[in-house]
Amino acid sequence: MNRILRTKDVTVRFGDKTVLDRISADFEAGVMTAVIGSNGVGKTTYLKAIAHLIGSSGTTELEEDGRSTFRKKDIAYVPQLGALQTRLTVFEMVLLGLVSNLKWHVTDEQTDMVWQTLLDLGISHIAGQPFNTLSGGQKQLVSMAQSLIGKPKVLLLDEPTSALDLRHQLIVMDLAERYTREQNVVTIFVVHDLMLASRYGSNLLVLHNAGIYAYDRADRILKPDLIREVYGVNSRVLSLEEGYQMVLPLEPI
Amino acid sequence: MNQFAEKSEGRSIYSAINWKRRIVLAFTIAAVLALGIVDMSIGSSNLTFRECVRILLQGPGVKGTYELIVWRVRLPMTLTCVGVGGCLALSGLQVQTITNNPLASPYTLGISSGASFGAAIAIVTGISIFGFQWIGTAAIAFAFALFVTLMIFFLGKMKGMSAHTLVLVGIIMNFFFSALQQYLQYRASAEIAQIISNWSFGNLARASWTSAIVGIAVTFAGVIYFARLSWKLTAFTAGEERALSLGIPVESLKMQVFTASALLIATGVGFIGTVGFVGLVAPHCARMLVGEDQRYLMPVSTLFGILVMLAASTVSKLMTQGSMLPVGIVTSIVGVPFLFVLLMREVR
Repeated sequence: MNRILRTKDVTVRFGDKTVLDRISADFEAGVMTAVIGSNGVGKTTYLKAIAHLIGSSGTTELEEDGRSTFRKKDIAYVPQLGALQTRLTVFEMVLLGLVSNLKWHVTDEQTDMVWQTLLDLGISHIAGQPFNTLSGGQKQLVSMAQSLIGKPKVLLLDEPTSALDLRHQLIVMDLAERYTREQNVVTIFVVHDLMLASRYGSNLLVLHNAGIYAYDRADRILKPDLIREVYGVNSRVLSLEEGYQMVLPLEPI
Repeated sequence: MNQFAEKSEGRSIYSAINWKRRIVLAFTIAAVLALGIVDMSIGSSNLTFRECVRILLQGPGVKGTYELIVWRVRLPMTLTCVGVGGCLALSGLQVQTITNNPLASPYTLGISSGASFGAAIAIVTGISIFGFQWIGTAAIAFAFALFVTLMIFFLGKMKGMSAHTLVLVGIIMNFFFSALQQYLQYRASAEIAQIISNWSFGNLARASWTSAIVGIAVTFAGVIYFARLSWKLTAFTAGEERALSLGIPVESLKMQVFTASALLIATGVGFIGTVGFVGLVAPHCARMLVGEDQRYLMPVSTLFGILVMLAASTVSKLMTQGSMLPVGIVTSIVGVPFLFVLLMREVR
């Protein structure tokens, strides 16, 4: 199925400050797109606007085989892992992904869906553990499981790797990539690490001054000029034989 | 492992999680019944535990001194504990849930002191609604409780509030309303000043069949109301942003729950005065035992609130032979160290 997420003229204002000014971009399914840019440029705001979690103008539409729709339940926004200290067990956290369909009595079918999701993500062994006792990597996986159980068609990941060590960064991102490919999902992730952006983003969308500075493949975008302009940093960019770009920051300007 | 075995493993894990909770729930119900009868059998007249049970089983018809004491004095007092404890614990739990703040409770956020000041105004002015003074008292207490909760709601919306800021706001509210209450006391006649003073301790001597029936009815209504919201409230524990992205109308739910909590607090405070910390202690203990699924947490918290009140009432009767130490004093003596421990845990 041909699936495209189209955002058109997305504009967000906080008070009299325009955070995002008429952002228009299309996102393909089956591959992941990285949203990058300096702090406070509106990366998270953009994801939230797409998910209709904050007030914005402009349109977001999901086009499937030429037909356009917008259903909020097709879109899952996975917030950045905060200082959440809930005692809910992993099983219950994932079950909450179905919250809009839950009645007083949880059905066997719903229980099975939770279990299948836990198995798919390789976290079934911690099902009975309270969330607040998990490691950062496990928390992130549970958080994603909670979103994936609802079978979203659009997955929005807000800094999914920010609190994780290198190994868990890769585990989480590999999982997102696999799900995106297998389920033909539109996945957009916000990330600070330019290496991760290049490693997992088939396209990079660079936000700067409330607008899109560039939106293209990593090897066409990640250039010293752009890094200087957007981040205010002098850098060297190496093209690796694996096809990824490596940005080596040298000094702030 | 085949597909079926894997599936049933998920089911058995989930039912194991819930099984323990049902046991806790059953034990808590039993404990409430037992402590209720213990509380009823303690008092100034030499009624034994056994006699007390016998009189209760006989029904209200029989005339006699002990029969009158049980049916006119002891039972309404114990049932008032049930109603007030239930109201306070239920509101405490839900205020904690929607502020996502373990230090929050009607007492620490100043909602109780607002309600208490409202009740004091009603006492001074002698306002009655539909000919009943208790309705007048409860209504004004509710108005003030609602005022404080709405202040907290809008401040939180404007500024975004951390756990500590919220408690600081509570301290400010407490200072403000106790100053107003002192002013009222200062201006009032000696007799009324005495009543207001008693009010701020939370005294079960004011209990009556009216307070018992209304308290229990409001608690029951609260339990039913929150039961319908239980999954939404559980989702709140997974974080506000998360709840929003799961499709829960966060702002309107907050508004509803704050209002319902204010009503519960006003009912608790409106009859017997300020009883602190029940709304803080009970939900915490319940959470430690049954986790955060509101289908279990909400009823168990309510029952724990009732247990705390019954225990406080029993202790207050045992500590002072003949008269009754105000329960509010007992709950505060136990509650303050509890709050301190929680605060230390938060700071760490």
